[in-house]
Amino acid sequence: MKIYFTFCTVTVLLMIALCVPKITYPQNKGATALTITLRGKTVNEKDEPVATTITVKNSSLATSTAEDGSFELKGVDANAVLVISGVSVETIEVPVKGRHNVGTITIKSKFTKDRDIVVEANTGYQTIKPNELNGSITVIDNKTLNQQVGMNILKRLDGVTSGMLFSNKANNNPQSDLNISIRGLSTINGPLNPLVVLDNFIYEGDINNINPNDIESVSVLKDAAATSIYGARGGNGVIVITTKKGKFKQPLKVQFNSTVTVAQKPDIFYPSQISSADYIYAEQFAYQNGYYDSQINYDWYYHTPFTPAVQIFIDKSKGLISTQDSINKINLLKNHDVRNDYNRYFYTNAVTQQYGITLTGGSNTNAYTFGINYDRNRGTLYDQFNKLNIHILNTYKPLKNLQLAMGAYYTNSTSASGRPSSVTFDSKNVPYIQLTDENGNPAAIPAIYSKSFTDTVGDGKLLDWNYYPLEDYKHYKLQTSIEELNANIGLNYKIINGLDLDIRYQYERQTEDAIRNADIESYYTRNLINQFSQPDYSTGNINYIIPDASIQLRYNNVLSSQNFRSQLNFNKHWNRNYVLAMAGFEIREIHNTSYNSTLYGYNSDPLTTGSVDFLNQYPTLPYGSNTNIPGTPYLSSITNRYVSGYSNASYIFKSRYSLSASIRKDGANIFGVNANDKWKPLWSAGAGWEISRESFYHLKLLPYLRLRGTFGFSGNIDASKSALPIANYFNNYTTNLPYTRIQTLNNPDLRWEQSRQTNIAADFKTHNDIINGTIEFYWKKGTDLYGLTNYDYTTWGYASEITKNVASMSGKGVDLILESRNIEKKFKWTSRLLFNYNESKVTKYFTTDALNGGRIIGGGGETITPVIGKPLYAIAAFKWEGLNDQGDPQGLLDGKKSTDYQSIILTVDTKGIKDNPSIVFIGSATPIIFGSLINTFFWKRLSVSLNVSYKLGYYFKKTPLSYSNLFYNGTTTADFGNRWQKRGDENKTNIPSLVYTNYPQFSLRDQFFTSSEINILKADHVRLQYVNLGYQVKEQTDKGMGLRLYINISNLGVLWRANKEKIDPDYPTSTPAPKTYSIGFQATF
Amino acid sequence: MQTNNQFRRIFFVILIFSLFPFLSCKKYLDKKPDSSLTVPQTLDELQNLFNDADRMNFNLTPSLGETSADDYFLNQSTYDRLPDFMKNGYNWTIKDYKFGNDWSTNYLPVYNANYTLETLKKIVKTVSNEDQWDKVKGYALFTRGYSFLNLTWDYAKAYDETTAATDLGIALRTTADFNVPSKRANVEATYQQIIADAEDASSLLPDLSSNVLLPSKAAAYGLLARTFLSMGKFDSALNYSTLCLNLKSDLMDYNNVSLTNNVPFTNLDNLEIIYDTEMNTFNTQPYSFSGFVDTTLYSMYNDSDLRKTIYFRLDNGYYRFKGPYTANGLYLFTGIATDEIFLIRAECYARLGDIENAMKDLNILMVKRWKNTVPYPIISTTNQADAIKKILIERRKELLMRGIRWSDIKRLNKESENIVPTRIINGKTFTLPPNDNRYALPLPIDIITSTGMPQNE
Repeated sequence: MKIYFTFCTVTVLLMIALCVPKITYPQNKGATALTITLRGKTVNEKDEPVATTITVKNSSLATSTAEDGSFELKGVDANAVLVISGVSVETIEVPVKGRHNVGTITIKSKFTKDRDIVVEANTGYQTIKPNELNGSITVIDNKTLNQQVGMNILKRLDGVTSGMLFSNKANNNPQSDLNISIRGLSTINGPLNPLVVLDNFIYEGDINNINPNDIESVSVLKDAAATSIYGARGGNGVIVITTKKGKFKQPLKVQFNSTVTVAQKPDIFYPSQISSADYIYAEQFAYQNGYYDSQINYDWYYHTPFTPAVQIFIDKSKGLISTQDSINKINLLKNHDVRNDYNRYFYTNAVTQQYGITLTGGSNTNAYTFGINYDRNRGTLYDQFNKLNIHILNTYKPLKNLQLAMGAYYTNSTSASGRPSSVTFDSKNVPYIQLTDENGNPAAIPAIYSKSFTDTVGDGKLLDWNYYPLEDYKHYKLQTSIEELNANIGLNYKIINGLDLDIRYQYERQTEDAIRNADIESYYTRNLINQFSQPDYSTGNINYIIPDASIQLRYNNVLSSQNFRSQLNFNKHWNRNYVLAMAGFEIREIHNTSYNSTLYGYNSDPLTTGSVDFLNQYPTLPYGSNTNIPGTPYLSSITNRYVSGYSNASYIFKSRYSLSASIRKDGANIFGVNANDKWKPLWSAGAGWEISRESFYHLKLLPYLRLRGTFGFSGNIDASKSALPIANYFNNYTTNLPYTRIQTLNNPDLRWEQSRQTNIAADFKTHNDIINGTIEFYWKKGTDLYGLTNYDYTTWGYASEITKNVASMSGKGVDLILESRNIEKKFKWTSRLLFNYNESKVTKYFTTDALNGGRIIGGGGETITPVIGKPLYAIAAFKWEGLNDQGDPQGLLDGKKSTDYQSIILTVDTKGIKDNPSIVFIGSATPIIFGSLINTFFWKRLSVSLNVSYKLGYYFKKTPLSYSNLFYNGTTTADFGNRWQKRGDENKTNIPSLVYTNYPQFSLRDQFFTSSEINILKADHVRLQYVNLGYQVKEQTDKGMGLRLYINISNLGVLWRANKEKIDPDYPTSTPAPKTYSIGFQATF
Repeated sequence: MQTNNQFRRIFFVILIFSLFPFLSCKKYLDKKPDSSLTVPQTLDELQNLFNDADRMNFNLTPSLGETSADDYFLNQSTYDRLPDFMKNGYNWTIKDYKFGNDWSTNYLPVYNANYTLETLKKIVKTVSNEDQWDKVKGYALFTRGYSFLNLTWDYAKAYDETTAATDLGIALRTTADFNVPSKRANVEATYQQIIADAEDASSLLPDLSSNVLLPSKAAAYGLLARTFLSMGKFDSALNYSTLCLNLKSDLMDYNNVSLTNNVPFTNLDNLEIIYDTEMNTFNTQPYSFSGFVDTTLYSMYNDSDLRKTIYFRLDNGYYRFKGPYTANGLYLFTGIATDEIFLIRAECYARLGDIENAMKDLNILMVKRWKNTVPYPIISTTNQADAIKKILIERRKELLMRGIRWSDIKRLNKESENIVPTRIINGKTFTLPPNDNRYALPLPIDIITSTGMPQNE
């Protein structure tokens, strides 16, 4: 803390010290009586002040303009000629002609095609020019966004945004589903999603509703100064999305865009899977050891189906088939791989078509935007997704001081489920399952119950109880439609020059309707009806408790939000001073209702439904247990409210010194929290110094250099955490009595998480702008972080862990962006390098290691490390000592190689994980270094961009071979084929020998092996993210049409990886994203 | 003039601007985020906590004791495919099991009870709410005492007056505040707490409850009878079993029960159930699915005993249990029922020397279990030891798979019954001698680490 204040003080003192000599700058002593003091102002075509340098031709006299564009030059010869130049303007010459005031000079903006279009950063509350910014904001312009062609706007930020990391880790938390982290994590157990802001307001809808074609730019707010204006929700960074907008006095511009994308079938052979022959070998092994004995002998009780191979073994032992027949049949199965069937019957190449048209324009008093986009997508599993967006925005200026804007963004999307990605047999992944029978007809699979049971129960009067994988998807369909309207109205009133009032209101409503039709042919429906059927064996009649007809499951969710914001903006230049300030407050309400229901006996034509008795329990087949019919209607309603007040001010002196600060206070209706805790003030401060404007600055190498620094706080809240015991209301099925259930334990000591960040940055340009860049250093400190911690569950018993403010973390990092113009001739070559370094470690943890160690041992780094000094997400594993001569894995216990797995595992509880020789900390589970290099080549009208991204310095866990999984769940990896089989194999392999469940410490041996360091691999890799090829058929001119063609190839795969097992570290368990090929054009006229 | 105008304009706008901030901001933020949420504060809400059958009745009572007991055995192939912790439970070597266990499920009702008792202190008892107030307090006290007894049966040694003050009992949690650390009380204090809770509850509860998932005065008396029996205090057990039977003494005639049905008792509130709870399933999989009834136990049933057919199903030469009172073939009944109370009272009479009444109670029960097509052989004796023996045999035959046997073995070995559970695994014989330390089952290892409480040896 002290260091930060010292830093601020030093900066302030430095600025004062530097200001003083400048003010007493010696006047031109050699001036003659003919000299005059000259004043003037430079503006661009839009009457906006521009920064220029004014030099007197053939003299050393020069000055630069103040923020308001004005300048003053003393000792000018009355007949001199002024040369006015600037970064963004054409250079012009103005003769003085004896005037003392040359008045307002309008200078044409310099328009360079490829770069130097300065995109302003939009914080959602104000737009700021990059050189006025002290905080850390990365702006992704339209051009960069268009380098990738996906339908999801956020995905287009991947690989092109500094400090932003994308991951593919499976995640069930809806508050963390974006899988994006900005500058590492600042929370452990709280929501991880960055805040998404669409046109000034927090966006609550589905991110897929936003069409990338409508987006002008995206600003990513990274440091505390930038995010603190979002208060308690800005802790994970903020992504501000700005849509395309028409401007006043602009002729009609039409942009038409069309893209067709083809995605290859995913490589389903990529995830490691045991071969069919090995699988059958393992089944035979289990069979011979008596694994299936109970199921065989007590089928009346189990009714579990046997896989085809096991059924053959049984039939053979019962003498139903001959030995030769069984061998033949088994050999057939051994040569079958169901993934070939999946490829043939379930998967296809995905095709996406995107069309969009945008019209923008404006007169003196009106500016408008109108856009329509239509996307059509067929996925790799024949799933459908269609989306229509309509975007309207109109801005009027009815009075000189008044501006009125009205806009609406409408989305309508529909999706339909396709085919299954895989088929399970009694919830096992059997690799040799056949989807067709000998005649090529769809095969029947006894999905849950044995054939001997389903064939005989109910004297054959029940519905067919088989599952037909090739037919079922036709009868079990999910259709979802989402409709969203996002409407806003804004009013801007200019009170006096420099002070205006901005009032905005936004209404957002998203309706999601999901209907699952399970018709009478579907396995789901037949199974449910059969379970509740009551066969009367004497009469042969069936009494149906569930109507013998289709079932429809419906889900409806309505999300609506209302935002109101009132803000005063102050913007004033005087002399060399410039103040930019705002203050405002906002109210926000999000309301979410959802409804679930199941319609039985559903018939679409004529439209009828049946009724069932949800209240009483009925005996069910096959076990006879009494159960309620599933699908009682369920209703939920959630309202979140926030009230916030905020203010932000910056002061810039002489265009080179700037000071800024912001403060915000949030209140929320978090349940069970005392009113005092609902408010949380957060603040930030920053300073900037354009050092290259100083007279003492002589670095020729870097003609432009600006230093800036910020410090501030942001927070993170999770409305599900509470200080009081929170209960839900329910209705008991058995007694039909209402009941309350305490779902969240009272936790009176719970506080909100806080994140502190310091950012120091330098923006620089080399001579002639050959290289320009930004380097930022940041330090993060998170305190009071939520963490799941073990506790004495004698208190409550419902969970072994509760959330407490358990930990503190510190993180540091570097974000570097370098852009260079390597060759600038007929052939052009530019590069953009993103380099990010981020390291975080635990600095405090309030519970003992011993208790929490078990959670991280053998994991893939999904849980926070409870050991001080280790990375926030570290991978720890059991020390690996190789296989012994019996093929047993060995660990380390009391300094010796050991196979006493129970004792090794027990050390986690007794000794903890730190300083425990049985355990090794391997490293971080998140990349410490990551980034990308984008090279673009231009030749005439052709351009090629290549994006190579890299992630370094971290580890991942591969899917280990597990015999428990093999026997109990019926799945394991191809490593089975490399297992230890005979003495001596321990020198060649690390895969333990196959043992049966009766082996001493069988499950513990498995647990030890799957959690040992041998299964942790280095994750470092380099990937070719995309290649983009563009051809400018015709440049757009004032009148003519512009036309650009492009080809994009994405997900080209890994170029280099550290692991030798050819695993893509971004996809350790699942199939990698398929390669996509796109072709499209963009026309502008 | 112009500046004046300007100032007025600014003043006006700022005035409006500053008036906006909602005069009732606090009220706006007091809106409940989720309409189905509540912090239970009212009598109704507290009462509703006890309607939560999934937590308060079903999948609840200890199973590790039943796993360790001798009413069943596993064949080798079933044993071989079990996960390690289940194997260890079967041969009494379980050591390091963690969350999701008897301890956690049974302390959950204790939390609800403690929360209710603490919140009740803030609710003023008036003439109009008096009945409900008392009932809710009774629910809480009963639930806590009931859970404590179940935990004691698992985790403490059998009650022995001479060592009860030093033997380790359970953690007597009487507050919902998780900042108060848990400590193990001694066995004496544990039983005194159970008795106090049950006695207080009995004075507050209605005679019988509207459904068997809720506590009643009869249930509290039944709990007291169980408690005193397991302490070997037969006079008190006799007193409370009589009080209980005075409120409810119905018995089912097994002649009306289906002999062939796989789920013979199809009604949750059958005539005999006073209070319904079911055993949790953390450890029961081996015996509720593929375990067989101990062959000696099965051979003790007479062919005219309907239980022999209703309770069991033949399977490849051995028998499986299928007769729990849970109306659901999958879960084991562990609640309080009149058959158990008759057997408690019979045993108490016998132990106190009243052979006549002991045999009377035993016959009241047994006649309902006998085939009505053959004459019922009245059970009689004049010898006290013989009476006790006869009652204990029927107790075992009637109450198997009810979560009672484990505590019975412990307490009966204190009475020198010399019961030695035996397992044969891979041809090797494992035995558990009487009064072995392992009769007090080990606490979950994560509880030991987080609280520092002493582990059972």
